Amino acid sequence: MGACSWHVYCLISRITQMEGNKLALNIDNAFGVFPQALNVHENRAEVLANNLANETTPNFKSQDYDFRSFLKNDNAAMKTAKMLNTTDAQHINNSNNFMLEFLQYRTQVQPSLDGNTVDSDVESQQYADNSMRYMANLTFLTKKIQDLMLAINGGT
Amino acid sequence: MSLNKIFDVTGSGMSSQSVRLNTVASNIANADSVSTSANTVYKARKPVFAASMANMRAQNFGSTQEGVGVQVLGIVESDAPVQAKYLPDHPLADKDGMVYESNVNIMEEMADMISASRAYQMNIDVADNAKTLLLRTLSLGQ
Repeated sequence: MGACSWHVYCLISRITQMEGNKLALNIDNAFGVFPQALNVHENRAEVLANNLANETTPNFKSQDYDFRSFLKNDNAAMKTAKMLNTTDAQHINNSNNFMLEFLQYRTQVQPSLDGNTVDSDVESQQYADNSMRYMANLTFLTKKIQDLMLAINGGT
Repeated sequence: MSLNKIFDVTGSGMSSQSVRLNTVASNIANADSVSTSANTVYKARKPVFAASMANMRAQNFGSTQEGVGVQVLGIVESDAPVQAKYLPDHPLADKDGMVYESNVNIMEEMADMISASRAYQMNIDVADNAKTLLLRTLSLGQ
């Protein structure tokens, strides 16, 4: 899969569309796409850290999110992926779990004898890329908060 | 917060790599040990790693992903052939004058050691990076 081919902001804007704007003014809208983007990056960091931790585990298959297929899907498909019907309070709500649909196994470059498909160079590069994006998101979010504070305080 | 889970993942990675380093140390230390019979001689020990998938999934179904961390399933003894040497003067020699040497392969152990310490370092780097991200998140908006 194309490692750097996804663009998280397109993805997030589609998630926000799906959620619908129930209130004219809520704090989620005030911060734009960035809180959800942080979430996406956190999940991805977890997957990549898991790949790196299992670098020497036999038969471990490296995984990553395939955001391209996510973006190709239309809204309806995403809605069904996200909204699993729960008819009982004890059913597990998968609302945070919809990204699981897009977790794919990585295509291997160099086969190894023990069936492990983790390429630590690729994984660490992806991890660094992901954390850089996470940092950028934090910066954007900080600026958003500072803007709001400015609006509240009136620059005093 | 999945960033907190990264510490669990890298922690399990570090602990299993240190088990591996431990077996390497034990194997190298015992590389030259001999015994009277092929059954009692020291055999190279190898840890068996597996992704700790089922456990974590049962505990934490809400997790966004399949497997979290590594676990050491157990430590197995290598079944590589044991070398017999004819040393009739050796105090441990059996009635035929044979002593049995451990089946530790030093080259293999050195390669294992380098691989384990590289993987350990990689896990530390990931944990360190996750810590930086968390600290930045904590100071959000300042």
